[in-house]
Amino acid sequence: MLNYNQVIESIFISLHVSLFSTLLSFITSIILGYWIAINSFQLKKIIVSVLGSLTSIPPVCAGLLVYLLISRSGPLGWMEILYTPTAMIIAQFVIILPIMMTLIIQYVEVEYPPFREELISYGATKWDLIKLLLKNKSGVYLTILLIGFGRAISEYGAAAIVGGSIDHVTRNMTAMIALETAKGNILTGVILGLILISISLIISFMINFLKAKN
Amino acid sequence: MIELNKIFLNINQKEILSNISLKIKKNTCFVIMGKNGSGKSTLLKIMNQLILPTKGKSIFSIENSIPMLFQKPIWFDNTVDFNFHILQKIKKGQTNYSWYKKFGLDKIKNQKFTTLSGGEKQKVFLSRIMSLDQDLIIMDEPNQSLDLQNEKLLLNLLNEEKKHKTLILTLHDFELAKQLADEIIYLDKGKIRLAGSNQEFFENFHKLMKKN
Repeated sequence: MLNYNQVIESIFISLHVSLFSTLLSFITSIILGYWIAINSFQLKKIIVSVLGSLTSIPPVCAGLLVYLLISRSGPLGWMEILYTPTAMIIAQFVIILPIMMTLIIQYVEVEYPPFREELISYGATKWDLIKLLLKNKSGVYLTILLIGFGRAISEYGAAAIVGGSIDHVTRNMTAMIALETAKGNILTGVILGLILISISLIISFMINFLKAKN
Repeated sequence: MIELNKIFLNINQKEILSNISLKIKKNTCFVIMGKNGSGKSTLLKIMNQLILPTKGKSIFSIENSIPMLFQKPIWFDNTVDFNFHILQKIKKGQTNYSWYKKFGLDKIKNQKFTTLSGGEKQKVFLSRIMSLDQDLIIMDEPNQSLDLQNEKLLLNLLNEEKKHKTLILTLHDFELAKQLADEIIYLDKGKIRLAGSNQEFFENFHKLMKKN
């Protein structure tokens, strides 16, 4: 039967992991995305097209990659983070970073040139330009955040591989749905699925509300 | 004040401007006319040192480029007041509110910029440039999107500024050019087809059109 505490716990784990991975990915995307978009360098086209291809990376493959890195015999095995929420955050970060970065690069590449031309006539520095561009159209950033969060909270494969679906520790909503369905508790799986959809909708509603308010 | 001598500009092996020579004197109104794609905006950017010509000599009395009115100025998803003040923060000078008030923008200062009409947006852009109180004013199609009443107001304001400032404008409107310009050039495919004082220009322009 559905244990109320377990459900609350899995909701908390899902939110904790997905919010952290989304925020981490967003900050990284802003820094690297802006840098790539406003600078010209030799490997730029290759990096952008690789990022574009990685937007559709299967979550299981991303999970496997992170697993190989952080497993005991892997290069980052000394960190001892396998089967922890931190490992799940890293795996989700790997999945959503290319998506968020690609969106940021596309946005900045369109917005930057007219900004640059006009603001240079004002004697603006590159930093002034970036600050003003960041201030502009906050709705775009909220949409990017929403896309990243939606992908993070709904994925199962990567978090399951590196998280291990350990009860009370790394069993998030998607892992719980998979487990309950595999056990034949279809109704429980459906109820959990509905809860997950509701959480996603509430967060999406909150972000859209913020966008409208801005 | 600004002198261009045999200026050429090629972009991607395409000739954008060819053999442009002109001289703009202090406290005059210089107008560039021509069809779409004739090179007016590009020439304006060369005059403002935003684009370096491929060939030719240019002399400027000021060292760097100055804020100018672009054809598609940047705007922020915020209020009228925010859009008016935001670029002042970079320039860090005194703010001149005279155009802002004359265009009645102080009455709609808290309105969202996205809700404004094209003409109202243009008034914000015009006031924003004029708030800097520069001796040289460079404007790319300043009257775009304005209705007749506001165009008349713009004409009066520019005529007032002309007395003690240098204006360089691109215009499509011959009537406006006639009432504002001291010197006019007509560009066609990157070349000056006609140049002269206001009177000379309009005398010869009809002949040029008849010839074509």
